[in-house]
Amino acid sequence: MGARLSLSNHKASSSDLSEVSQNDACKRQRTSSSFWDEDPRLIPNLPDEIAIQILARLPRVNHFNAKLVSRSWKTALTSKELYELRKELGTTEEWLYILTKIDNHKLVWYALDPISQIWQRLPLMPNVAAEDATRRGISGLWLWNMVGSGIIGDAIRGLIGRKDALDQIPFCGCAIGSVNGSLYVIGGFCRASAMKRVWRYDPIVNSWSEASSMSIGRAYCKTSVLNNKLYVVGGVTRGRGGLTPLQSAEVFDPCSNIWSEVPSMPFSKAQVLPTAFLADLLKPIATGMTSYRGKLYVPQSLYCWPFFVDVGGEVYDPETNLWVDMPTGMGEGWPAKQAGTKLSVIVDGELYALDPSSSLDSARIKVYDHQDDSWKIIEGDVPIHDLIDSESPYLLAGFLGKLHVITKGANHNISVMQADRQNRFDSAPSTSSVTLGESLQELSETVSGSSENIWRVVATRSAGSAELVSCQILDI
Amino acid sequence: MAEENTITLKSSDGKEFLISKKAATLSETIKAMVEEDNSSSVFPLTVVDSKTLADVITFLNKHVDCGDDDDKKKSCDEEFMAGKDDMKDLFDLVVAANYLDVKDLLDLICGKIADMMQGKSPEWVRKTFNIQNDFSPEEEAKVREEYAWAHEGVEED
Repeated sequence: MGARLSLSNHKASSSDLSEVSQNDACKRQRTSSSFWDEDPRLIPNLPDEIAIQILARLPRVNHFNAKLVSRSWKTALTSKELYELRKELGTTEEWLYILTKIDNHKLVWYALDPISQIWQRLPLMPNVAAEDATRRGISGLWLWNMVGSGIIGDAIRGLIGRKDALDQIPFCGCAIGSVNGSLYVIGGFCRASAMKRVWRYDPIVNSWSEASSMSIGRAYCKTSVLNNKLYVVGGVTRGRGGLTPLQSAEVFDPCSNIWSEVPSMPFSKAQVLPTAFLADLLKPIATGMTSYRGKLYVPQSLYCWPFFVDVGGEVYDPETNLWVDMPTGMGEGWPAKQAGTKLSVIVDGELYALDPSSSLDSARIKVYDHQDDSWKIIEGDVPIHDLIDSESPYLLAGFLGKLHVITKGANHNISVMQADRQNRFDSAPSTSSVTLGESLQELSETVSGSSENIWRVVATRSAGSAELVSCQILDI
Repeated sequence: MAEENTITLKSSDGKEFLISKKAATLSETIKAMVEEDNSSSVFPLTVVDSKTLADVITFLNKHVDCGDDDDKKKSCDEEFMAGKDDMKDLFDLVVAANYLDVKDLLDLICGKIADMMQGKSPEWVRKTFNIQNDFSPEEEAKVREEYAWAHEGVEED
């Protein structure tokens, strides 16, 4: 496996975007030739090897001020070496990165430091629209009748029929991922064509650069990380006949900056449709992806506008390089959010999803029990509002070892809520899967009250008209 | 009293300190010296002055007493650091800790200095550490711009 789809081209593509060379994050650079042999010293009365030890212990929220001290401080604080040292010392910090979309489809990222509760705005992504010279008409958009509704195209749907509307939006439908300490913005639509391009945000230098492109253009694909590699599956692309759902998958290695082929999803459920007519009409779509217990779990739907049918899903095992059917209970119980997307998050090895269906203004968290092949409800309503209005009313994150829900409330505030699991096993030092499994079996669908999520707002920020799009965690 | 289990450390200004071998060899550097030269009982440390060496020895003795008890170590360390706010003293200690290769002490002092820098302005850092601002006005403006962008519209609302 692992056919080469693209050669490493980061040198050429990133040179104009980042003044700091974007070397492989995985390669430990030799320290002997780096900044601390150069004059002047970081701190005049200290050897630089000690000064860097001090700087590596400085919380990241102070880095902006520290970068203003001197040239050598700026160099040190934007060096891979400092972040390698932070890893060694265990002084890395988890920050939450939230992608929002403002009225005009402008995408803006914010970072939250949970300790200081200070938010920082990331530099804007490079204007991919301006750089993409291939202008195409919107004639291909007829297929949006087929695939362009809720599941993958809420953002696009409103634009159909508005002449040139697609020309005005910078891009949409990009997928978001993070691997190896960087954020990735993958594919998406740009002027009605699906893009191959991939953008990378490196928090160390606080800037965007272009990574290797995917083998084909994809919009609304699903992403997940397994074994420190970023996988993408599905999405739609623009074929000869219009927009076509994709079954293919590929994987990005951040160390080599290379995309490799992964076997396509078989969509075995789609192949047993009774008639060729139906098979032609119903398009298989990947509605989510999560990396769980060493494999990739991809829930799938068959879709024919405006209907869609959940058909379970498929599971990719990187060791066998094969797809198999998803366990039935997992597929059936995986709650869908608006537009059919299936969000999920892994916290401490457990798979969680949010079930919005219990009532209008609250939701429940479900956790998957793999021994039982079933989803169990955890008591404790998630205080969520405006479930219907927004395209993406909530996000899930595994942050600081705890489950977090990010919502936008009626007051236009984005709230970051942390779940504190209160149950009788809390006194146990670690939540082993056995303990949790046992506790959940006792819990069952009818909530017994022995386990409850207590929700606590850990940070808020005024969002105005901005909508939530996605979130990621970086631990650097 | 040249007992088997004690050695003498001699500071750069010629003062001698008696210390148990067990405490002294928490320093990887001293450990290597002792292993190399079994017959000696006096080890000169030419780059550590007596004031600093006294502090280091206090730290080593405390840590030997604490054994593997991390909670105890923590409270010992707090006690040890109490009142140590003078940057020159901290620098002397951190250089000694680095030279003597005492990881726990290096951790402690580096952490302390980093703590002191928290929330401080670049001007405070430059003044405290005697650092020259070698940015050109354009370079400095660029970094400030990056700072302003990151925080604009974030704290006010």
